[in-house]
Amino acid sequence: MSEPLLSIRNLKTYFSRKGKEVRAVDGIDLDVFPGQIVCIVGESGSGKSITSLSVMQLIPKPAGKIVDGEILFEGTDLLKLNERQISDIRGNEISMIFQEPMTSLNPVLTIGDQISEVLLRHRSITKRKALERAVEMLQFVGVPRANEIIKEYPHQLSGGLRQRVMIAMAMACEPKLLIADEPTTALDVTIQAQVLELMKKMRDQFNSSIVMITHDLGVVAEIADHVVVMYAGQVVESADADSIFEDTLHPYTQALLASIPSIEETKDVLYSIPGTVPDASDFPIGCRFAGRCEKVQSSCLEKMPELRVVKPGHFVRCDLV
Amino acid sequence: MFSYILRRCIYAIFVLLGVATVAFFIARLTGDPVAIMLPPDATVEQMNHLRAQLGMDKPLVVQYGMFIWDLVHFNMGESIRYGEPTLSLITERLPATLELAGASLIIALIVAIPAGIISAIKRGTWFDRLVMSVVLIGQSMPVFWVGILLILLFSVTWRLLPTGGIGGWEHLIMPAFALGLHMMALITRLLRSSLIEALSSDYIRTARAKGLFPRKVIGKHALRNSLLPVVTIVGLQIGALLGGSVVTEVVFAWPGVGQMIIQAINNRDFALVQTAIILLAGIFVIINLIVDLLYVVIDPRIQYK
Repeated sequence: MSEPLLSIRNLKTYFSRKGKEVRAVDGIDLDVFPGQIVCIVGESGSGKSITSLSVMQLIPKPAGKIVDGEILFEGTDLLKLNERQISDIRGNEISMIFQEPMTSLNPVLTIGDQISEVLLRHRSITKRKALERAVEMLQFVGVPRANEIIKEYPHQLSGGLRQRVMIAMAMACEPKLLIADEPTTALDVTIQAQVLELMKKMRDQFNSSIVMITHDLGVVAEIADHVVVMYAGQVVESADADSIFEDTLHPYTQALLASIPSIEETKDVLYSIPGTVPDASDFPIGCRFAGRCEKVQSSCLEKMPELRVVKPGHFVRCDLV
Repeated sequence: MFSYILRRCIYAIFVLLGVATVAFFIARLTGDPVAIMLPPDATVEQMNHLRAQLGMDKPLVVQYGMFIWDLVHFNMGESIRYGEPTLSLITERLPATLELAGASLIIALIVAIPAGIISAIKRGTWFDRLVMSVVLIGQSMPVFWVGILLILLFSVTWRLLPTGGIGGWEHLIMPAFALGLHMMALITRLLRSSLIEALSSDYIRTARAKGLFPRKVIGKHALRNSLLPVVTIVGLQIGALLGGSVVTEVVFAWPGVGQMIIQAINNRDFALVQTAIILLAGIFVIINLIVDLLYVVIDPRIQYK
């Protein structure tokens, strides 16, 4: 394969909360290749959203801080850029869409204004041309009566339409990388499927790479080329989508898959992983999943397992595999 | 929209009738005007004669009925002190009061808007802490005391500004500042907290994710969303400015409606007091309507039917 578009190395993003250090992201490695759709999967609090916000450098300050690591985008370390340089990349080469289309659009500005301003920021283009382009983008993402919608406000649109507007806005400058933070979570199931289709269409049309953050393994099965499973601020398993589903190696990933209800079998009680994610300000010294793992051995509690290659392209952070 | 404005105007009539009623009865609690108008050695007959002349010999309810009857015919009565129609007496002095209140409003906003914005952006820094301390002081000091301190400092000690009276800007600046200080402090605090809230919202993260410059993120995306409470309070505070001008005008010998109201109360000049209060209440009602209509301009989610 070619050079990765985005390459994250040993990223550590810590927060300080009541004087304690919260290790939200604790040494992540991640590669995204051109045109690839990578899904980051994990429970709430696993650090997946913070990873994506770190790439955009939108970590809430001063509580959060990127303390170590590299984020190479086309070979440039984004962490070494100043605010002006990173803002030239945001919305232009790397775009982001968020979970809540309800609150992520500005309620007092028209849709047309919000889409065209990203073009006005990054392209030398007149306001009229920007609005024309906004209409084109809206038509492309399947928004009906795009000519009228640009004059409307977010509250006049449904949730699904708003998320389409978000996607149109994010794709307006044809970014090389789109980061989508749970874009379908707030939508109902039929709209979810449409939005996922739309994202694939975006990838095919603009050859953009997509990093999709989700906790929904159904979404992963639908869209992912490559899957990264995160647990407690670390990557625990990373492989292509088929291997993750067919040849699951890490006990956490296995437990995640086991907790999906199946349509074929009838169960009285749904499986859930016992226990909770350890407190990010007080991680155990050994394997962070050990406290909830069914296969736990005494060695798991003593030493943190390394993320290692088990098969070509398949990485696992578990010494028992 | 038109029917909404019409409805509000009809409500306003009832509000003003209510204000007129309260003004009527409270004015009469201050005492008997005849006792002030005649020399101390006046006879009972003379007093009764004057009372009958002023129409004050009739029962209170009858007087009230006559007052309301005159009011709905736009007859505001005559001042017993000056013998002139009260309306013309007040409209003569209204420009001075509006000038003072307008200047206070402008000074308050010119200082409060930048101070509130910068405090919000730099919250937790020494600048923010300094501004918030000044705001606390500004909100705690009553206007008459600020006025006296200003006169002491700028007029008596440094001899830079006149102690009172009307004239050029040098007459206006001290009373306008004293009157506007409270509003300045209030708007600074309000805009700061409102903007801090807006800055932590999801759409601001979206705006930053688009690569917009901080100037745009704050000026376009955050500020407009934080203006609604500010506009509400500015509207209410204009009423407070008109009320506050009563005290300020006395401290700075500013020849406005406020000073006239105080004199009218001391003279038990009922008609003049009533007219002044109804007129100020009318201005307040109009400003409130304008504020409510401004909401529609600021926030497209608000609509009146």
